[in-house]
Amino acid sequence: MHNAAVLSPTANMTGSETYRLSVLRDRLWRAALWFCGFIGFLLPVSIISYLVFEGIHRVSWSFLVDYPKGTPLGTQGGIWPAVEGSLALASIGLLVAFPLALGGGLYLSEYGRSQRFNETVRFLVECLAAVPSIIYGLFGYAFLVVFLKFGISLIAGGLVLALIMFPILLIAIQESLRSIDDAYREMGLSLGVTRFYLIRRVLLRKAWRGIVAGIVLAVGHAVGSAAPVLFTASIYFSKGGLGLDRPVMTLPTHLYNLVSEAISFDQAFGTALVLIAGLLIFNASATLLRRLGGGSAQ
Amino acid sequence: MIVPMEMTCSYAPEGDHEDPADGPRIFDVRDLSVTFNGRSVLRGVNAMALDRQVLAIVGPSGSGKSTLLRTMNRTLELTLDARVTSGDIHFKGERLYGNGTDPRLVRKRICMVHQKPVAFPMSIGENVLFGVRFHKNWNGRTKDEIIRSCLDRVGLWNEVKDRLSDPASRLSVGQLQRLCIARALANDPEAILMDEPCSALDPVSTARIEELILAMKPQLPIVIVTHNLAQARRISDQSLFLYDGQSLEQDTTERIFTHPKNGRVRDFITGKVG
Repeated sequence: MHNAAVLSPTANMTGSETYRLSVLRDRLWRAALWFCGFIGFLLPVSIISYLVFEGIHRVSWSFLVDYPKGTPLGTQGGIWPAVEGSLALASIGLLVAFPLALGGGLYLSEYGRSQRFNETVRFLVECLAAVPSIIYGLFGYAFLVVFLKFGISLIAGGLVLALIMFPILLIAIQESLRSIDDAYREMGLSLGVTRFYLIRRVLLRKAWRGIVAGIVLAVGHAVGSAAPVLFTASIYFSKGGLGLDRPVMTLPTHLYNLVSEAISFDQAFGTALVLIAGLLIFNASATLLRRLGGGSAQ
Repeated sequence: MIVPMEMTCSYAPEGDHEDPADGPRIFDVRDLSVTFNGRSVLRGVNAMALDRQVLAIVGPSGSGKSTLLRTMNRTLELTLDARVTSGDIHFKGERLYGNGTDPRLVRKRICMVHQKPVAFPMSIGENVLFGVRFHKNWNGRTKDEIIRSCLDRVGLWNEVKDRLSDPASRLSVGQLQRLCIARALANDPEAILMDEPCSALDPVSTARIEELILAMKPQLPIVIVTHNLAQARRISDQSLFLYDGQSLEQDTTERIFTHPKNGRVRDFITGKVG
């Protein structure tokens, strides 16, 4: 009978040649994807391992808290002024960029009723995020350092870093808010509350994880940028101490100087390791904060 | 092609006809038309809801049931490009779409329970107090008293009294829908609108919500949109049948389900059309 042939156990359990080829193709496809995923693991682990291998012997407490010494300058001593400068620049950048990006993201996501305006702003912000950091450096130098007469200073560098952080933060905040189900808005507003109250009590709590992820990304990107601070804030050597109108040393520019002028590769690897470790610690703290915040918010 | 319909709406604006049932009118929808993106979704709808009664709005999908409900507490205008183009709704004699009417105060007085229950990212207790904190609607009650009385009214108190500080997201969907009703009740509303409140629930949870609606009826007028004709028959006193953005018939539920006057309503109720 026809049905008996179709239901034959041999045909069903072993499969046809075409079927076996499909299974093989599926396995190859899965292996290829696994390899791509593995690259994502291998690359950062390799780079960090290499930096640890080359730089760990340089890193010590005195390396972190001392200022550069030796002849030429930087062959000995530590990197404290650069650590301090990088932290100060990132803090100023975040303090300036975050409120503006939060306001912009909230407006575009929650208040902007003109779709054309929202899309135009979003397009421009995305363009801003794609601008090479050296262009920011040039703009900062021409506008802040020269035109506004800020000079090479902490404030000029901090504002340029704020410019770099702003689009990244705004996109992250807007995306994070947009991903919240509209049911939250409808439900909240149908109880007669204002949009501001809904944002404060519900939407920001729901968007918290995405916002923290945006902060990590923006700070990581800005702190690692050498070019913009090279033009606006950075100085070759400092004994530490901060002032808004004074230039500062930063980790990326110090690293650039140590390598480009062949001062000390040992010190360069130590500096690079501190920079990477700092970013990893910041990232890990933000992830922890996100989990804790997310847990209580849920 | 738009087929001319036999209009047999037994309800007409106040003064023209007697009410189909006794009791003061709470909602009086008069010749209401709504467009969405320029497309007409409600056309000259007339309807009314009586005090301490349940009005069920029934009709096929896309007939404008939820749109009508959302006009009744002015949440419609939260949707971009949705507009009331003509007509008005009177709530206890006040014009909801009159000049100077604050939509937020309308929403505070007429709360809505949605199809999909949503837990705000805060504790169970704080969820109940969400609207109260904004409106400062304490009326001499402490927050614990409000939480207890609202959760008690929806039959959730005994289930959650030991975990009021737990995140509301840990509740089951049925419990969450009752929490949403408690959150609305905490506002001390003068009417409650429900947009298919049981569509996401299992039969047991549905039964509990229906019990709750019947228990709230003596205190509040309730308007419910439902696809479930059996549910409309079980819980409502009045039924309004909407079709293609028009109100075809409103009458007591008993009469509309046993002796509908309109042919389309009859076909829908008998299952000839879906």
